[in-house]
Amino acid sequence: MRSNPGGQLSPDQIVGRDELIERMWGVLEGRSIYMSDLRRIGKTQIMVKMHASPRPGWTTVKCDLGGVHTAAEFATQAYRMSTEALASKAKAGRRMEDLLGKLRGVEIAGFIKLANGSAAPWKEVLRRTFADIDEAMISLGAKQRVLFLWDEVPFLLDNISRRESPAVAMEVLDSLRSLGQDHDRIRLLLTGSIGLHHILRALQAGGYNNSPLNRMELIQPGPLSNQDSRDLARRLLVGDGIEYDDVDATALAIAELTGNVSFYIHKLISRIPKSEKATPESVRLLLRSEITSDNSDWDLQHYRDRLKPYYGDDEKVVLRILDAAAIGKPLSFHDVRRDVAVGVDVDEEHLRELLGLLCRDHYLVRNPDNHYVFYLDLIRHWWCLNRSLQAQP
Amino acid sequence: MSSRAFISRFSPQRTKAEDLESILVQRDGLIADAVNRVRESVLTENKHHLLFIGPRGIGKTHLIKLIQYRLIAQAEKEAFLDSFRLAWLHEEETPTSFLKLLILIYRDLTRRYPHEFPEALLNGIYELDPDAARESLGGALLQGLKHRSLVLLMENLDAVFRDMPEVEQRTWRAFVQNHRVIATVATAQSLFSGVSDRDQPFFGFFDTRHLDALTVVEAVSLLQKLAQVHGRDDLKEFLGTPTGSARVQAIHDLAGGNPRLYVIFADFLTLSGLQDLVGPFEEIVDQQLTSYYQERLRSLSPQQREIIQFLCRQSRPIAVKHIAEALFATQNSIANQLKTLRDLRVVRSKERGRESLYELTEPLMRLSLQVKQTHDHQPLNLIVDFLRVWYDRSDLERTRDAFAPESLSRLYLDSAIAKLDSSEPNLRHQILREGLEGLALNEYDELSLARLESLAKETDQPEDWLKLGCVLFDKLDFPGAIKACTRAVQAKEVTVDIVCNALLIRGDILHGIGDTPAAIQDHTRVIETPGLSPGILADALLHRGVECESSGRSTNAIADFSRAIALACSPPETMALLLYNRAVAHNNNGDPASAVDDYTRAIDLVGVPQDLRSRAFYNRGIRYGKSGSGEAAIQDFTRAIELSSPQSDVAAKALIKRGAAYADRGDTQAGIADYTRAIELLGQDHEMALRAMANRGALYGRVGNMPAAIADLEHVIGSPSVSPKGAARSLFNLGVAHFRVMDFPAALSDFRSLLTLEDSAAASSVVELCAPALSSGVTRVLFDQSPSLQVWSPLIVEFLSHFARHGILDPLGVALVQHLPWVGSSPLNHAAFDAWVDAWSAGVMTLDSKDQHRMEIPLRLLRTGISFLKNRDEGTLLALNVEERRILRRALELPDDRN
Repeated sequence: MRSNPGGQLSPDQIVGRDELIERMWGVLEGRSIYMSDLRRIGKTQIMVKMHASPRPGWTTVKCDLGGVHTAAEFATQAYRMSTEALASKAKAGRRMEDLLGKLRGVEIAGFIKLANGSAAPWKEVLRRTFADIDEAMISLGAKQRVLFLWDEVPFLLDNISRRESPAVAMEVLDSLRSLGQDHDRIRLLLTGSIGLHHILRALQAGGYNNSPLNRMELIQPGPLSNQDSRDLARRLLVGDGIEYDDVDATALAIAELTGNVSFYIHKLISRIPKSEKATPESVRLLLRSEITSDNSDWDLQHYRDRLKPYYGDDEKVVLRILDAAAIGKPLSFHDVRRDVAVGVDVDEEHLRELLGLLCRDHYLVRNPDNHYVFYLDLIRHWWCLNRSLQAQP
Repeated sequence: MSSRAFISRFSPQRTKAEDLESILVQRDGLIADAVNRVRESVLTENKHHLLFIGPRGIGKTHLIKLIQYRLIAQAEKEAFLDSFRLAWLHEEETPTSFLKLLILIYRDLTRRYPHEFPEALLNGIYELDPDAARESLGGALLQGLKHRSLVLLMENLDAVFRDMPEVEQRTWRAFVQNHRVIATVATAQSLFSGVSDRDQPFFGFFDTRHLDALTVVEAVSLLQKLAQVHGRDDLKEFLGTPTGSARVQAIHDLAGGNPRLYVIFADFLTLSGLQDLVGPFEEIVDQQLTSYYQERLRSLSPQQREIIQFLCRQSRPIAVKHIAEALFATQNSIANQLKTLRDLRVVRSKERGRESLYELTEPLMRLSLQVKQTHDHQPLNLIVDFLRVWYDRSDLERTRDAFAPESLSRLYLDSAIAKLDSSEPNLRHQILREGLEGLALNEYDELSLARLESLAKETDQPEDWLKLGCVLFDKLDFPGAIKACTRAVQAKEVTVDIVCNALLIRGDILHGIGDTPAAIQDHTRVIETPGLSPGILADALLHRGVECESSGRSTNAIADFSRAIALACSPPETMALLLYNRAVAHNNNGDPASAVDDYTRAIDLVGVPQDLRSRAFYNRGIRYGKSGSGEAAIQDFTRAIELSSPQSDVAAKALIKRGAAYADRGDTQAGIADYTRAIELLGQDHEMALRAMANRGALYGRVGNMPAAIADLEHVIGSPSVSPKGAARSLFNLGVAHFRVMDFPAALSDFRSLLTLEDSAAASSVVELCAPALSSGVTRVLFDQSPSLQVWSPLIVEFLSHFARHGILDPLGVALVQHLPWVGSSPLNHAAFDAWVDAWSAGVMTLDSKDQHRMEIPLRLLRTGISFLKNRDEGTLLALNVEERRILRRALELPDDRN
């Protein structure tokens, strides 16, 4: 197993996540899921693994929607891919056959055209596709269901918003919500590289007031478990043919340094020089040089640069909070109020709000003791280096 | 390799892959790794996307072509050629949408695999609207692949991303994600936001590798390979010499590690080919590079352009203040612009001391802009610089005559010669010298040493020879250093300072290799130089004093040190050295009081290095100890320990001495603690640590901690580093320790080992000192053996001979008599008593007559004593004379005779 940062992994090489995936299948029994987390945390890998090994009774349809630019294209995509997935299990959907047959429509690369040359109404295509799937599932047995694994949904909405209009994007979003609710045999697992709230914010500025995700379970996968990340690091060290004295100690160091994020583990190991022996100390120095280099492509500066646009005048307070969290022990709210916000003109409620936002933006997370710590240790490490802070042991 | 090999300077794709392989340096492992990853992409579901980053001329196309070449070779060998199809998008192809990218890919596939990717299909898509065309072509591509993988080679990915809108990038990415058939090997001139900005679709998608510039060693290797390709064995050999390496180091500054520039330079390594080279070369530079760099310049602000143009005219990195001066701008504004240019990766900085020097990131930019600026057909500076750096003047002059006066080649050669003739410093020497600036002696490696050697030979400047002498001295190349210093001394125009410094160093080396008379001669020559600065004179006196001292001429040494001290011009460090060394000389001259005075003066000087002060305390402590001032000695050792640096051995030595001083005054625990610290500092098998451990073992014995004593002493004896005397002392102490824990066999063995040590001188010195205790111990241990004549007799014979050899039969005789009460109190019967006496009597008979005589009285006392012990009749003692009787009565703990 070789390091492959950013590339596509075969399902058998996606390490870990089994417990989370088990939980997600459980959730999908009752409702759809929106998966949200930092870029490169491994959301797509989770989808790939679920698609490769669906639970009994489930048929999965997976698609990256980043290349879809119109609502019609999206509807056609849903129709086509579900038809392909169910081809061996159920006969063609009656309602879509009706639509295509009666109207003598044809599916032309990308979307369905009616006989008169105009695009088939995309909502109708979606509605009929979902209804046909529902019917097909009932015919297959009581426990049969379909799961749409749709990646890059925010890109889809942004594409539609740009090509067609924000209004159409809102309609697509609403259609997804209602179809997800109306068809008990169909579940959606949605995710994307960028936060959906960025797209929603833009749409809300245009008058959109619905809450499309409020019936969905929001899941934040987070990094790998300690054991899985160590296991991954170990397998990659061996697979990449890297020399080491103590593979377990080196793998442990890599897992800890990268905050157990699979992508960063792959990335760091891919950068280990083949001519040198890897040790916990050498990988620590390598990471330090990687994330502070002029040629760094880790883009951790992003976490500093976006504070101003995200937090505006609160940037100063936020910096103090993050500095304190970076160098010391986990912070209780009391610690923040006493040590961080002292001398700064910010009231308690606003401080709570800022802490909430820092968690939502994946800077911080609350640990089981209800104390705030950095979400990823890698970012904490970089933060200390970038701001010349001395982390306390 | 055939001499007909064609190495294209600007289009590696036009060079045969086999020829590219033959000149590959630095990147063999990188290519092998990339091929393995692509192979995995072809044969499994894992798909790698590799991105190699580096400026123009760094060798990206070379790399990508070899990845393709090796992949195909491996696929043929392992029979997986049909598992993939390959498309290569060259650097000029920059699609503005995903559809256009697909068209380029399909077109290349059509060219390579016409039956699988029919051209007709491509023609058909132009009738469709773009979305439909994209869907159709994407489908056709997948259909043509038939579940094979597509290995996509893309050059200038940064340009592709720059021209392609983000929504199109999303479509591209979605295609790759949804179909999982594409593996990418791409190149880019620099890292770009499309892959490094977290908000972009392809963030983190590529496994990026930065291509390093060539090091000097790699550049030498490249030039050697090129020489081989061109059939120039003489050049290849020259490149392997220190001079060749130094020349490459000089042109390395011009090439900036850029492989393409080395390939260009390699062409100019043959002056005879200059005629055919220069003209076409200028044209190629103009066609291939200038438009590209002109376009990059246009995107900069006017002041940034000015900076770039200024840097283009410079052949070296330049400090901010010089740029600011040249452009009539403030340093602040130039610094800000340079920061932006650095972020844009147009310039790069190098640190020199506290200042940053700037130069163009891409040396090719300078070359191309020079072409643009050379309107009146003036020669390109870079090539002229190269010619004058690489060639000697004689080469250039000889070749010049072969060309017509108006020819372009002649123009280049004339320019190079004119620059050599001008008042400008010799560029080669300047580059070589600058590369050595600020290097500490211990920072010289093989390359920089070659550079310095070459510089010294070429310039024949005394300061270069002197520097070389210093470096070689530091590297312990004494013959080389002596030779270099001699060249400095013998140079024609040499200053007194350089001569004296060279003599000082040479003298030091001569002293170091044992030729003290020659060393004294060199230092005397310095001392006798008229008009010498007092500082150098004091240095010379110091060195000569040390040499006199080491050759046993303490009086002369004291005179030299005193003269230097009287000059009162030396810095505190030298003054302290003078005082310290004079103290040593006084001590060796039998004047400890003056020694203590000098140590005290050295200690009290302000600004003395701590280590020297620590040594002075240590030595003074020893003097105090010897004069019976134990407390003062302990205080000095304590200061020596406090001031000692971790690298010095003074702390350990002082701890051992202080441990002994503590033990002498009865503070055994403090002594043990000091020895323990010394052992920790030195490590268990250091010779001094063994001494500390032997002392500690003895102290443990003194306080009754016998297991600890035995462990220490056994470690000492078992160590290969132990001195013979240390071994002897430890064997004795170990024997005593074993004796005290009643392990008599072990004790007997220890005593035997002591008495039979190979180094008899070391053994004798200890045996002599410990003879009474040793005799008493041996007697006691022998008596403890099985009580029979058969057992006792051979042992007694053996030990008598050891004692006789060491000349300590007298103490043995005393011990034998004093041992009688032990015999009396033992549970043995009278027969055993008799056997003990008989064994000794027989043993003594084996000695020579002189030693028999020596043992006569002890034996008589033993016999009489045993008779008394058997019958308890004091009358038995009357067999002895009064004197002998008194001795025996005391031994038997009987009251003295009243008579």
